[in-house]
Amino acid sequence: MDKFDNFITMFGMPRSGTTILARLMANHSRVRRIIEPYQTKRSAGYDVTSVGALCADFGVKEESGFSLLVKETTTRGDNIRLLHQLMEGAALENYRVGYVLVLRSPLEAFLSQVDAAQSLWTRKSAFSRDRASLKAFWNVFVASIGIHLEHALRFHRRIAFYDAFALSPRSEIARLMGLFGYPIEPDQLRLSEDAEFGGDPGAGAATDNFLPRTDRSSAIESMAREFGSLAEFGKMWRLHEYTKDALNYRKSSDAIVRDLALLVQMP
Amino acid sequence: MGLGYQFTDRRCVDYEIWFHGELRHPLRGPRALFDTTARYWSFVGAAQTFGRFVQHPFPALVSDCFGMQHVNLGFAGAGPEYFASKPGLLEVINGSSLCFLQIMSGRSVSTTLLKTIGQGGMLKFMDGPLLGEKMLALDAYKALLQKYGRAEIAKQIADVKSNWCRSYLELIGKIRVPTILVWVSSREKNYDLSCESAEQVLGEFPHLITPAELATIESADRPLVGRTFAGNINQMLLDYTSRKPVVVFNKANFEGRPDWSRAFNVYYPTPEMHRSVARDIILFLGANAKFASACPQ
Repeated sequence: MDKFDNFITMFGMPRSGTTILARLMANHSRVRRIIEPYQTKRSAGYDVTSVGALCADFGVKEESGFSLLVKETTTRGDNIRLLHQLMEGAALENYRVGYVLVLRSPLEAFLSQVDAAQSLWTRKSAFSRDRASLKAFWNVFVASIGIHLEHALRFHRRIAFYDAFALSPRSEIARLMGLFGYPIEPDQLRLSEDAEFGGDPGAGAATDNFLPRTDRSSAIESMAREFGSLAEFGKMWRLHEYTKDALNYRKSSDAIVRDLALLVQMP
Repeated sequence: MGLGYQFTDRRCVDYEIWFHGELRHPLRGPRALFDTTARYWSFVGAAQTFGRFVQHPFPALVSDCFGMQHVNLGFAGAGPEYFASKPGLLEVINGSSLCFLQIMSGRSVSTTLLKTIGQGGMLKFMDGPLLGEKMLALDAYKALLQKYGRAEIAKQIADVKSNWCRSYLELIGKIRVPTILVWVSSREKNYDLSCESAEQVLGEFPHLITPAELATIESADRPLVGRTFAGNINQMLLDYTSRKPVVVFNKANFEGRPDWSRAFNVYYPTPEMHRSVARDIILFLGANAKFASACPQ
């Protein structure tokens, strides 16, 4: 059977830009995609971790000359556990495996998630700007990253910073496409409406302004006053500062993985 | 070609190709802490500088040893003309505090008969029975021997040597920062350049270049550092994840290659060779105070 050129996964915390990045990467003529298989079918207990079965379940045709991109978020630790089982299985099946980890300030992502819960989610949720939601948001990310770090150096990788992408989308997408070995295509950054894509409905617009920036600095200052005594907030703040330091965008993926282990796992 | 290598070699090495600012050239990674406002070194050259099949090529090893930021401007098949004609690349080179300029191939310069195309080692015939035909350099020299005769080959060799020197001097004239020339080869600088076969004409990398040409660009201010490797190159290529041998040169795309060598690098400097080159450069820098000012204090 013809195998994909590459089997690439992408993940990050909710509202970290995974949807727009996945859309832009999957907009390449040689990239096929499966979006949030474990999150969307969680109620059915979906746990398929073979590439062939996953493709069959999601109606994706496998062909050489093409690559598969599977995107998930850290909404549940199980999503990441299953995604990594899928990657390990793919490696055993002799696929070339790689991943893209998307990093965004956890404070901005949390505030964006609060906004989304109020304005975008169809189902009512208790998720709001309070201590319980903040702790839950961070702790599921920590658990997911803990699972990831066990596998982080096993596969080729790219770390994508939301802020670096917002600054220069074309060169960031070109760099991420390098993981596939495919050059960026002339129209790759031109998106069309795609209702089937899933993920963040706000990331669907065809526009050059991929990430309309919301200035959350005053909201974050307010959170610092309110939640500053929480251990979770302290760690979120450390990662927030890390994602805002442009020097980190130029670090090698190995260095970022090491930094991430320290930032997220150290007390 | 950086992206070409990334695709072909993706199972064994991830070159972490990245893009700098407005430059459209895919650069060899890892994306270092390279910042044009800070001090950094530039490494200019071909696939040997890029470090095909090597996770840590000599530019990274040398820079890491001195704690310097660096940019790897190694492009497959590139020659001096390539860099001299790219203002964006020259700007990056001239922003560095020290440039390491590899001795690139004689077959990567144009002559009146054979014109280089892009940076990929392709040549195009500009005259004679094969006018307009494009082929890889070795094939072009084979065709030259068969269809154009020895007199034309001799003229071609003389043209290459003269144009190589002129192109290097032009490039060097555009580089305004201290420069060290780097020799990376599996042959001695002098070799028997016979017209018996295309292989003998070209010799090993950096094809057609001998001490006479090197003397025209080498000087006290522009020293030549580096290494000639002894023995054959035979690097088994391993899958990054499984650590098993991996076929990089498949039959479909590399038809003429012997089957035994499909999971072997038999041409580019191996990781050990890169470490040797790095060691020679590091020792040179350590012993030459003139270039010490380009190192961090």
